[in-house]
Amino acid sequence: MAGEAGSFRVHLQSLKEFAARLRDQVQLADRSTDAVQAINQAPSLSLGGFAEAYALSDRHGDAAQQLATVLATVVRSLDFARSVTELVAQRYEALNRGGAQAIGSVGAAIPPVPPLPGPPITGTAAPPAGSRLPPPAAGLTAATVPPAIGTVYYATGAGPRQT
Amino acid sequence: MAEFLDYRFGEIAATNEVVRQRLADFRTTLDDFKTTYNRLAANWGGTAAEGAVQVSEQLDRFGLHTADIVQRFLTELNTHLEESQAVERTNTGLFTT
Repeated sequence: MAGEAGSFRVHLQSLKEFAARLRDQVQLADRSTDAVQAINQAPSLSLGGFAEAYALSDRHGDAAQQLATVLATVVRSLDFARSVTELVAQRYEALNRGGAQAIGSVGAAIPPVPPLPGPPITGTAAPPAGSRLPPPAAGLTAATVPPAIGTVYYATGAGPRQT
Repeated sequence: MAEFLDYRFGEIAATNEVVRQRLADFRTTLDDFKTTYNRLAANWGGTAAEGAVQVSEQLDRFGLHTADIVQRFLTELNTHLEESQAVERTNTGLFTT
């Protein structure tokens, strides 16, 4: 998150590749854990039959046990990071795909723009009662007989009007 | 698919608001058109009046359909914005143990 309103910028492929690398690391750490456990389960070191040798062998076992514990923690941490990274990548991907589909489906419903007849409307118009032809001063052609096609203008006022 | 998913919530919200305002303007313009054509139809008579009414109705149908689509776009965009914010909150929270 950055800024007041928030944002995120994610390179999805890199996120997936990072998750894959974490998965590889988990497998690698798992093999190391197996190796440490093998060392720990091996018979006591034959360092000799005296007190210092026994003590050293015990410390060797303790160290191996601690190493196994640390490695197990590392494996769990790596696996947690892997699962979170994969989940985050899946959620971003699903979010983006779902949003694109939902918003894109709206665009599919856009109708073609209908052809609108441009003004003036042509045809034979019946003048309202009381109307008369405009005077020549109005700059219109007086037509005593409506033409077969074209525009007929009528004025409803008593004199020329400004339009 | 784009290389980066680049989501800026503030800009998405601003886009939503701009489109919403444009939609309001469009509805006002459409109403003005209809009023004009209806007034012409009232002043005219015969087929000219019928033509004006026809244009008015055609504009009305087209306008309402267009406005409905834009409204759906706004709804989807807003839904996507809310989902994006929720996903981001959850995703960043996943790294907190």
